Amino acid sequence: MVLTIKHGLRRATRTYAVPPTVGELKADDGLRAELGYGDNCRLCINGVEQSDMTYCPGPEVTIETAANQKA
Amino acid sequence: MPAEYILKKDGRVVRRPIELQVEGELEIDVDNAILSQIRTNIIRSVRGLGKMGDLNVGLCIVNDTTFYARVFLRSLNLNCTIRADGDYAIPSFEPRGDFVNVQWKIPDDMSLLFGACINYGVESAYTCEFCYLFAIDPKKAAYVLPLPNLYNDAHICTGQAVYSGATLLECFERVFIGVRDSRWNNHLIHDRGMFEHSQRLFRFKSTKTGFDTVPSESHWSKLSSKVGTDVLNYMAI
Repeated sequence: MVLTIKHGLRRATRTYAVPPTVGELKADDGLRAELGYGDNCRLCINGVEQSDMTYCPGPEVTIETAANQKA
Repeated sequence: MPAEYILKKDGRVVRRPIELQVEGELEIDVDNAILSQIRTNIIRSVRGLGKMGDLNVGLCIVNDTTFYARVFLRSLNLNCTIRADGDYAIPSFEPRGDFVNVQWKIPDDMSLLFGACINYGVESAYTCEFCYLFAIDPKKAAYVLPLPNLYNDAHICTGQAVYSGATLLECFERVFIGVRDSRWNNHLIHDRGMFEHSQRLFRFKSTKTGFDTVPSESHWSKLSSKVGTDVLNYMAI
């Protein structure tokens, strides 16, 4: 499967034999380096935040910087 | 076979198989209702919508009721408390005290973008829901400046303020002026490191006429946090 990962203005495309999980995408060092995200992020599919165990069936997901809260 | 559907500029819709062994496109007949729905969901950007003072306003139309307006700033107005540190005047961002307006001149390699999400709805009015401040480098990487009223995703804490207008530009101008003139306090200082970065980035020298920006010894991107959100795609960059 072909998956497009979006982060802000940047895009990366990867091919997977099986759909990756949200946690795997978040932890992917190659993607982190290419797209520039860190630990403080969330992954959304069609605008809905997903948990780390969720599979990403494609065709695209969005990784966003997670907003903090006021103390 | 996986495929992608492409809406061409001339209005035709073509289906293009993704498999590398198959080349070419197949034009397909699409009902006008489907074309209309596709066009409705296409995000459209206008980079030169009009002027707000001497700033060019850009606009992104997400759908019939959701818009993003933005301007690129040449300087950042900080309405804040100031402390003296040797020869420098540095924003202390105290919640109370004597507030002054200082104009921070942005570095030459920074594009500073102020944007707002504006919705059209109740009583035919435009209302600002969120506004943002992004610092963008020449490679189009986005950052959040170490300012105490910015969330990690670059949206600005505006407290209870709600901005609206009879027109989209009127609403955008009101939120722009409101944020520009608002006090910067410390509601979102979430760690000592971020605060220390602000002390190194925003430095001024007092002159007879006001405050001159002193360039930071470290590059601004090293003192800021990288950010990536879908909102950036609506900023007509």
